[in-house]
Amino acid sequence: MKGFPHCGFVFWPVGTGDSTTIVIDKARGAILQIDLRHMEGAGEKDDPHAPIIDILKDQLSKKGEKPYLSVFALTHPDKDHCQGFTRLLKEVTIGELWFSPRIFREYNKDLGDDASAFKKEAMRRVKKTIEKKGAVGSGDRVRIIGYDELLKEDDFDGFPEDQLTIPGNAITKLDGSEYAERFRAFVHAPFKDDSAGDRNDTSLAFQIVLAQGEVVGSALLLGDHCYPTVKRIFDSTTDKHNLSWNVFLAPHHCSKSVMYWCDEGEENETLRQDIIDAIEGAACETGYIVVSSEPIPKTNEPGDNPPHAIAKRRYEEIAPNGFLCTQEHGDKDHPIPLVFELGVDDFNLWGPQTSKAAGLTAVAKAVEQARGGAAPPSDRVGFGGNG
Amino acid sequence: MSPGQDRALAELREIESISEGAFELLSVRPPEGKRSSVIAEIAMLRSDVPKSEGGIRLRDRERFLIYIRPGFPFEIPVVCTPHHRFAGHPHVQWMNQLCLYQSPGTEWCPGDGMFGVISRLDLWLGRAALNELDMEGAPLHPPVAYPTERVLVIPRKDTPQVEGIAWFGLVNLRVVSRDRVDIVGWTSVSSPDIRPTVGAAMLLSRPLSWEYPTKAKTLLDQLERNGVSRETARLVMAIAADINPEDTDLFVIVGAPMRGIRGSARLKQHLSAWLIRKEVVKGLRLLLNKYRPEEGLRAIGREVERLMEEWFDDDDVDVGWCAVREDRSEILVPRDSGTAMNVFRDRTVAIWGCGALGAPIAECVARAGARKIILRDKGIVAPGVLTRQPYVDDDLGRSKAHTLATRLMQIRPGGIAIEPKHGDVKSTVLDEEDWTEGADYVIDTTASMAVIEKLEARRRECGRQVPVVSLVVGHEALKGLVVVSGAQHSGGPIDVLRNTKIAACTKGYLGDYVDEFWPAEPRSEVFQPEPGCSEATFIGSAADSVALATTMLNLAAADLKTLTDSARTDSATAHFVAQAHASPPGRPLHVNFAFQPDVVIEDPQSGFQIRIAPEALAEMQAWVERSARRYGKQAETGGVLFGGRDNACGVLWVSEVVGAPPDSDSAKEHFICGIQGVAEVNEEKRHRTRGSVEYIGMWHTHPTSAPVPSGIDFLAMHKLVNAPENASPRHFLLILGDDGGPSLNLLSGCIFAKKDFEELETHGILERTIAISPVQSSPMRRTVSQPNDRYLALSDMHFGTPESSVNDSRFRGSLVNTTLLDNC
Repeated sequence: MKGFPHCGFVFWPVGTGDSTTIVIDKARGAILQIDLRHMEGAGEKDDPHAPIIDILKDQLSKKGEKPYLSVFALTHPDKDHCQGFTRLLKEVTIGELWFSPRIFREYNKDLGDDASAFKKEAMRRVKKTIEKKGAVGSGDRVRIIGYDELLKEDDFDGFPEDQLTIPGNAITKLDGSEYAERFRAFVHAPFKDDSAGDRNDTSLAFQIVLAQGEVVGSALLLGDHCYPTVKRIFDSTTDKHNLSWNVFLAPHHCSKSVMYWCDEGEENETLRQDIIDAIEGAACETGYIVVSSEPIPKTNEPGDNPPHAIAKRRYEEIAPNGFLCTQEHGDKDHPIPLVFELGVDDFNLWGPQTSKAAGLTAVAKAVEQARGGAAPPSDRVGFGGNG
Repeated sequence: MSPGQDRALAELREIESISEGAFELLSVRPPEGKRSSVIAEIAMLRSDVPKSEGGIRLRDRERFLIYIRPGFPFEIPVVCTPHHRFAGHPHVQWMNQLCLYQSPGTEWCPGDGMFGVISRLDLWLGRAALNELDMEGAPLHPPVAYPTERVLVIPRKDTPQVEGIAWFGLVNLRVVSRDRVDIVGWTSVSSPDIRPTVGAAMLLSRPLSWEYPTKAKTLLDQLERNGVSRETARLVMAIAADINPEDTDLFVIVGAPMRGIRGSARLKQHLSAWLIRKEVVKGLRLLLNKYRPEEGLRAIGREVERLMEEWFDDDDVDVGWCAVREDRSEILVPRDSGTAMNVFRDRTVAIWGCGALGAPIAECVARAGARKIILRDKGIVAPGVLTRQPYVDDDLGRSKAHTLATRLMQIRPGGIAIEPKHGDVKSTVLDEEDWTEGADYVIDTTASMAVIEKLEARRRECGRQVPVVSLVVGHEALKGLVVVSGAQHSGGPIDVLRNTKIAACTKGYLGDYVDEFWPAEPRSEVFQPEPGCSEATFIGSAADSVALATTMLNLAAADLKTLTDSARTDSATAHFVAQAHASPPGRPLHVNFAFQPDVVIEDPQSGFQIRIAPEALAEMQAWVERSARRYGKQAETGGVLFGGRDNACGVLWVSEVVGAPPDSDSAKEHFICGIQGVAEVNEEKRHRTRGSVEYIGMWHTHPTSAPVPSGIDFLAMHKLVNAPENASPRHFLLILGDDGGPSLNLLSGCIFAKKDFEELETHGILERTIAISPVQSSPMRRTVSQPNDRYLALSDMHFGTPESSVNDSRFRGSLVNTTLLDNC
């Protein structure tokens, strides 16, 4: 890997989980990491998963003796989104944490070690921010994503309003520095009334827009949301610019629950074409759909966890430039990260765009097989009377 | 749902079940009624399709709607996209309908059902992604303008060249009917060559969108981007409107370079026709007032122009596109291109006979693009001929030639000249100085021996030679015979017919054909449609005569195309054809022959032309060589000649020869021709060829002198013509003589009759003009003896004085050796 792009989005092959690195300004070390998944065994020989913490340590610029990460944002504290945070916190200076306190309310009972470590660190920073009336430095900063009512709660009483971002608004600061000219994170979720819903419904959801000169690139990162919330995001966003995407990170690692849904009173899930159309409608001329997951099987059994083949098929139909899976990109055994860079002239995907060799397509093969051939049997068969 | 629709869905499910997700049947919308389509929504993996710049931008998976009609698989399903992303690409119509088949009638295979549809869709998408739907070097799919008007416009004249900038002007129109208008010319707005009815024309230098706009505003926008401003467009329309009669609609012809071969540097204009209704045309005409000197009128003109501008820019104004069917030579690839019949394109063809053979042949030649057809026939349309000749009841009593001419003119009015003449070919054309009448080809369908006999005679006299085709059919129209004599051939149709007969007679398996066309005994039953008062003809249906006529025409056309090929040594052909439905198994349905030209010499005295078959000459030379080996080079030798003579056309054919009979005597200064076995040989040849090859005379050599008949030769011929037992009043003498070269390369031939010796018998003097011609070094070579090659000689054996010219000398001979005479 030739390092971070000067400005762009990096999706790492970290199995079925999320680790998205957003390089706002490489020269100034402005990096936003959304979620983390450092798998056990990652980096070992023949293991196809990226050792994300080691990579971050290697790529991040240093502030003092430790590598420095501007912001770490946690969409929700599932293991596949924060695995390795304990180590990251220890080995990397994290300037600012972004989180929604709502998520801990839903997850308190079964938080993993890394999630607990995140919560502990987040609450430490909240406390210090309140104590210092917001006058905290890098390493102690925190940005809460939530609603006004939150500040009436005991834990957050006195938390400075400018460190609170209410969904429906945008963030342009990173660890106390303003990057409005080249960075904008519009917060789509969680919604105010979703706290009682499914845990995934409390995920943070962003549209991240980067700009470099006249080139603009945007990514829509909708966490692990399902159809109702994704639909709600699209329906309730009045300014459709806040939905446009060059990269759409398929929610919940290519879960079919984004577009196949069963409402109350219905027997079976059905395809919700409206959300497919909405996602497609928000695509920029150059647009990729990215799935952060293990290789996607051709078919699934009922009850299988994501990634779901059927969801992949629907995404394939609407991605202008293609559908990409982090663990399949390049080579399934040796995948390479998906790096989207805002170049001098355009928004582009690193690496050669593979040209398919001419030959029978999978559909053509299927038709041939269905049509049947005239080859005689290759195995013997026995016949006989009753006796 | 119909059984076919059920089957279609079952086949789609079968593909889906084994495709491992590459193919999905997402939904099925049942038909709304018995005659409605089932709509199958499918998705196909496309991430494994190679793509290239300029191709349709496919996504990794594409969704389609397949409309399956109740009549499936006998009705072809229609494939559409649920989006308009492919709109604007060739072979995508109505924004979302894919043209999967260029020729559905031949490409759609009902037996393959939906497997075929999906295979085709897979192929189409693959090519579309590579931008290869219109392959480099292949014809471009023309753009589409969906017609909304019922007028058909036919462009017949090629467009002006459009270089760099747009061309605008006028089209001359020929209003054929309320529903049809032809474009017959292109002119500038100031040209004097303007017809009463014109249209406005704008030819662009850059392509328009593949699907032409349906709204006037959009079209004018596109024209503007192509260099035709709104003002210019309105002005050209107004000028055209002003030229036309009042209360007429206006045609606006829009052209864009979108026709031709993909990759070619210069594309042809694709033409579309926009019909503007007369109500709007009135406004266009008024608009011109703005150029009037009177200020009041100018103000009206400007105001009308403003209103017209508003009207054309109204979002609701549709473009009334007319259907356009091309007839421009620069666009149209003739459906018969590359066929044998192309030989007649842009040619003048004279057709003799407008009956059962001539009429269908004339129609084929007219459709093949002949520039001019000359029709000759002496007959009128009688009720009986309607059975098989292309005339109708209204034509009864009219001249066939003129009636057929009218019919042919309707095929390509303005594109062909027809010259009909009523009359007998023999007494009209064949009496004219140039019997070819300037035609490039003559086709004789009269089946008249008198016609081809007279043709043979006229052909000898007329300097201009053209290929002649002559056709006949058998008495029941089950067999046909067509002969083609090339311009370079030594004879006309009668010559080729004779050669065909001789050749066919030697092949036993062609007995049916020989019996049909040269029966051993004259056919006793002849068919007379009106017994007692009509010419005999053949029995046969329209299907029979048309089938034979067109088959033979094709064979002749193919030969005409190649007879001028320098690699060919033959110059005439013949074909037997038989109708398949009436031929016994195993009999040949087609037999062809090719003939080299004969070696031609003249006998000025008798006026006969002597045509020596190359094989016969080769045979004589073989005998000469044999004699040289046996008796020495200086010994004379000779033999007997067999062939035929036609007094009507003045031709004598030497077809076969034999060498010296066993009782002959060869010596240095004489050759005595024996008779042993000659009668038997003659009988064999006569019998075998049904009388076409029989004894005609004798040949001998002059190994050391020119082939000038000696006194002995004359006396021999005198004896022969006076032999009491001799039934033949004429005898032919052929001499091979020496020109000083290694072999005997000079020829002369004389036909003697009793009267030739009257002067000798009376006054002891014989005068004879002799033509001496060189023998071709290889008799098989295709060069006809030319008059210039011939010279007349004086023999040192005889004396005489040139009287007219060096090339027309005479000599006197006297009888000097009575001994030899006796021995002869």
